[in-house]
Amino acid sequence: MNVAAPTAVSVSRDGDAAVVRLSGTWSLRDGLRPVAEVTHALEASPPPRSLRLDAAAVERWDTSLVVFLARIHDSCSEREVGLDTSGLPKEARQMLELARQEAVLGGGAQRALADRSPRERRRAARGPEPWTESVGWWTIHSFRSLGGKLDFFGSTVLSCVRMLLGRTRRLRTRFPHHLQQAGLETLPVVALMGFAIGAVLALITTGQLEKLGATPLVARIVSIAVLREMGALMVGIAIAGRLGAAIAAEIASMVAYRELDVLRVMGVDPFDYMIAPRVVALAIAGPLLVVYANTLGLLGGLFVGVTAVGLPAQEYIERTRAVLTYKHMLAGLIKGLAFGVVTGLVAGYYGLKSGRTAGAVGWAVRKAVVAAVVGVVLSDAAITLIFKWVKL
Amino acid sequence: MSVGGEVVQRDLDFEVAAGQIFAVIGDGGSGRSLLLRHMAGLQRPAAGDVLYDGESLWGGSEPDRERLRHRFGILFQGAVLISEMTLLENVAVKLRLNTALTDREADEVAALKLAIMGLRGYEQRYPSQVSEGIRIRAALARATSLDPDILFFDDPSALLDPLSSRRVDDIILGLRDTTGATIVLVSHDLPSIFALADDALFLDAEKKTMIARGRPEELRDHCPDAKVRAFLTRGRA
Repeated sequence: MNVAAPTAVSVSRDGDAAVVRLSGTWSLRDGLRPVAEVTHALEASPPPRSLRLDAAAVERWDTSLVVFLARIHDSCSEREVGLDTSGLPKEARQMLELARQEAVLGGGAQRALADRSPRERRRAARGPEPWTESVGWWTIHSFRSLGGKLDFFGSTVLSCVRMLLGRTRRLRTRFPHHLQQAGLETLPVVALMGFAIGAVLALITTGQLEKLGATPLVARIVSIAVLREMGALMVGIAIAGRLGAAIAAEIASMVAYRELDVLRVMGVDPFDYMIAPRVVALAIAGPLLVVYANTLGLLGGLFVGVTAVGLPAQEYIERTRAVLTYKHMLAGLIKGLAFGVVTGLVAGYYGLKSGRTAGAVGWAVRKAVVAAVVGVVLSDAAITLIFKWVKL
Repeated sequence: MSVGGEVVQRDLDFEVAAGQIFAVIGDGGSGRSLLLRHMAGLQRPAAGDVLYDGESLWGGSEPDRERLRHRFGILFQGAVLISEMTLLENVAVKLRLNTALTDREADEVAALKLAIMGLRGYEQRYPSQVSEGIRIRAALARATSLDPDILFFDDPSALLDPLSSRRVDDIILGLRDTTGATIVLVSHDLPSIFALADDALFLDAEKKTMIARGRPEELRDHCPDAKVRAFLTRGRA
């Protein structure tokens, strides 16, 4: 059985030249050989003028030898010591020359390197930037990003107007499908969540009102809470999670497969085909889902009020009807509309903004869902404040 | 060879000489890429085996096959790189997982491999930030990261402009000359086939078997089968 000869390096001096003799078997699997003994020879006094490599005794070699040679090459270049590679195998010499060549790039690629952003160029030239500069870049980026968002918002509004005026009818968008996806297919989730929210609210308020001897007020409190806030907010969270993810994924996939470019080439405005039908569908489905969720929420409250609290069903319904004013119902409907629009805008924005890489769709979905949920909660707070201001 | 129970090729029997560039050519749907997958140990053939220096690829156990696969380097069609890794990481991962090198050493070797492909300065770029030609060269660097004996290239010139295609051809020839590796090439790019291949095999989609074998120039000028001559002359023969 043949045993591979161990890698060996010996350094000697021949007048002005240092001579490095290499032998044995060089394999990546055995690790990389350090060049300390060679650099030590280069720093001898007096320093050598040249370094000669002799690989006559090398039995087998792979990239590990080329890495070793490249390190020696770099050490010699730093110290301006000439390197004589004539004693190397022809192939190793070629690989060393290739490894130390300048980048061999096509014209477009050369331009790409030159076309680095100002920030990249400064980082390359001056190293890590101070925090003040980072804040400055963040501010610039935020303003540019805000511009992109406003542009998207404006394009979407115009596109929705065109759609509502019937000017995009010949496009034959999948509006009925989007409406079904936003409305009918979301009903089961909303039903479950609505009933549960109503029931939980009734249970919690009962616990507190019993201490005051005011349990009949359960119906009133549950009804107002569901109609004005909880029903709409719950619908907002449901559509932000379910439809925000679905819309962002659909649009991001279309971007990844260059369908966006194809639409533009066909003369179709992507906003007319991809964004507006989805936003309008959500704007219609949002209030309808709120009505559905409110109904189920009230039924949940009734169920707990009758079974757990022991209130007569007739009395509970009468007390609920007493607070069923248009004001409370309108508040919920407006919120439903707003949450639908916010989700459609956010999901469409991140879907369109995604890239063409394998992870782009995942990125778009993640950003869209988080931004849609945050958007729903913040817009809920804002609308509630406005209602308080206008006394709705 | 079969796909979904339908036979694609049968009765294939050929040898590839060490150190050669061997081209697998044929018309669309003839199973060229599938043959490469069988040869590279990625997909088991419906029947038959592939032998490397007499050692069976598909007759052995999975660990034996894994050991053999370490001798292979593969360039997939379209130069598939992991989009979440930089070019350097794409090359270095194989080194980190299959050698005793430290992470830093693996990065150094990976940078050297990229430099050999003419990609110095591109180490920290992501695949989405570079052109198709650079992605292919980075994929070549990854394929050769462990200094494999045998390289499989699936249509390396596809989607490239003629100059980039020529550059990739030069790199492949350089790889053969500097490493002595055996290269199995699937391609339908005629200039690349004539520039690179020492030997070629023609797979026929209708007859579902190989119908010609030899140097591409000889096949073009003297092959008795008119279909092979037509293929290699773009229908002019």
